[in-house]
Amino acid sequence: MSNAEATGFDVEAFYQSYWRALGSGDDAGAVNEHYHEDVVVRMPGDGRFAGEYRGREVAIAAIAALHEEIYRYRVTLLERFTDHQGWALILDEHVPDDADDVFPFRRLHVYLLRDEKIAEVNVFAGHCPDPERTSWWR
Amino acid sequence: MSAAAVVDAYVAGDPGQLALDVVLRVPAKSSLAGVHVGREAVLAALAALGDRSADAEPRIAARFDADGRVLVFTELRVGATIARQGIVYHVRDGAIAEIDLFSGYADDVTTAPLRR
Repeated sequence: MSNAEATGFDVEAFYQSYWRALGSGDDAGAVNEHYHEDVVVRMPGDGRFAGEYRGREVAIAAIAALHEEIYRYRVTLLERFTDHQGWALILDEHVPDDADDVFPFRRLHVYLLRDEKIAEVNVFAGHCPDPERTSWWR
Repeated sequence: MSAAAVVDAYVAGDPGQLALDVVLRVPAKSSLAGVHVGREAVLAALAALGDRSADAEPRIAARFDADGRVLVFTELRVGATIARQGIVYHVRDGAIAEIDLFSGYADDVTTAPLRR
């Protein structure tokens, strides 16, 4: 997928650039600057965000909708893996249950690069102590 | 031995690479969802998960090796569906101390092969 190892592309700097852009609140700008035009974003489960989103414009809409939801939640970055392929993040999202009590929902995000852009975003759901407490991923 | 070598040995078929008090966390919507503790319990859970697709081999879409941990992203074709799974191995004191399974798009962890 990625030839960053051969070209010497600075994946760490690219990662930092992407998260700064997202942190600025400009989802469209972050996607347009960092995502491949043929990007695929995959969201797990069978809830309202689940599915496969193809292309930058579709990804922008999907990410904007997702962020509108999760910007209200605290996210803790537990671990990060970075190399020439891209990066992977293990996160705890502190989501409210149906009674508005907050609890951690562990997730894995894998970003794979192609042509020095994010070509795939794969989101995974991890262990949750009591998944029936929230409709988030249902 | 590096974390990568420990995981490689385990995946190649050596259950002795699991710590005696290893912890396995399986995501929701699996019949084995929850936390499994101890080598015997973890091996039994993984065997049960693997039995569901005994004839399939996953493709490793990506693998990240870091200090003390290994992440593997697999894709498995099950009929018309591609099941995606993330597996994170945490290695401490020369053994796999924790395994976290993550379920991806169009994936039910019960359909993903984890033979070991």
